[in-house]
Amino acid sequence: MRARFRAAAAVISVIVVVSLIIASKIQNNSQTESLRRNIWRNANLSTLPADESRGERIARAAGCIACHTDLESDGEMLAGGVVFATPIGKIISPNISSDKQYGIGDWNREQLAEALINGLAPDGSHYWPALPYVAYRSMKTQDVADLHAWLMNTKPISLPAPEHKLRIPSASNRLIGLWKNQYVPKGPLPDEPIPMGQYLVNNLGHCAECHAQRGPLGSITDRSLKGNTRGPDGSNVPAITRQALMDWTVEDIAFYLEIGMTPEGDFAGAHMAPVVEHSTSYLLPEERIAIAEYLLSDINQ
Amino acid sequence: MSAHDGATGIIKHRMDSMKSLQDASKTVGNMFKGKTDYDLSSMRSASETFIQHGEVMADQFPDTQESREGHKTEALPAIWDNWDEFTALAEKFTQDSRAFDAIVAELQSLPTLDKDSIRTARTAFFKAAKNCSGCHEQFRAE
Repeated sequence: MRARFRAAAAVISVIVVVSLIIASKIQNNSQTESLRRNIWRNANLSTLPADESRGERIARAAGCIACHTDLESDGEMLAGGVVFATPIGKIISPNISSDKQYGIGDWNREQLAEALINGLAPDGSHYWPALPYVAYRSMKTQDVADLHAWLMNTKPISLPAPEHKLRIPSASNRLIGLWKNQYVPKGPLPDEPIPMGQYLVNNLGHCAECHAQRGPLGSITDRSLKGNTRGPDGSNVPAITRQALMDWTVEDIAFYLEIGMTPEGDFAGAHMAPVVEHSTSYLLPEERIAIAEYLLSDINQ
Repeated sequence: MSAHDGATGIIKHRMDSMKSLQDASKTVGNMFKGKTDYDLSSMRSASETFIQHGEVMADQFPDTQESREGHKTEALPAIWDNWDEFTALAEKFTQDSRAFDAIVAELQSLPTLDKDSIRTARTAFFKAAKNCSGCHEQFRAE
């Protein structure tokens, strides 16, 4: 009897200790979240003048359209429904059209910033990191304002996207806070100066989400673009480090991002073709050059 | 060693055809990138290559066991599951290539090549070449 009591006490204390650790980690994470929140508040996100057409370019650069449009089934733009097969089940991209009921038409700019930069939904729950807030964490306040202006004027689609089909209990949403604390780097913070090419590759373009290797918890501890043998749908995603692109010139990369053609005259298919078609081909020529120069620079090892 | 080595029959035939398209695209691409000088007669033979191979594209993918499962093939079964879409893409590529070819032919008749003409040719090439990724995305294994 006493032994059983001791065992129970031991289990309870372990649970208490683990909970305390989890609670303190989540606390750390929420401190970083409020740090970021203060940045966009101090920059007057809610009242900044916004440029809608620039906002579309931000949406293109950030890949919103390719992931939130069911291109395979000719789905409506930004109506969601794209399935991402992950070890925890199917994550399905939501409707982010301007529809007020099923989309995000009733979101204000701060709510958009919370979602993209902090990974938080308007009800305070965490988004799964399929939404690449790990990359968007450094997003510039002006970019959020412009993007919001464009998003609020897209065609409203009054259809709900299907729910996620997860193999784990929904209560595990809380654990995402722990995951964030472990795997979302604190910096660069929003509005910290980042060279254009680097910002487009590492932040808006979130290239590492496919071009870097993921750990068992879906985390990317090394965000260098060394390739990924377990890419989307089991694909083998090539490395795009400076060394891997040794035979490419700046013009080759810029041309590839515009039209999908490799220096050898071959054309992208599979997962990169839609990225070119819906994202990088819409960038300004100088933005593609900036990406190319960053990829070929010493930093991109 | 290329990914095509060891292919035979219809597989080899269409892989060679794709290689011709690839080489022609490279030639044109290098001009627009500024890697090589503009040479309208090479550009013209590239546009002719596009048309020629575009016209026979669908014929190179018969619905036979060899065609579907032959050694080294990168063609996906989606081709035969979505045959109309596949042939429509091949047809669109051929049409866009004809438009590109017509523009290059017109430029050949001009005394000099200015920036606007280059831009027109570039746009026409892009329109034709966009079909390549569109098709690979759905119908070619990576």
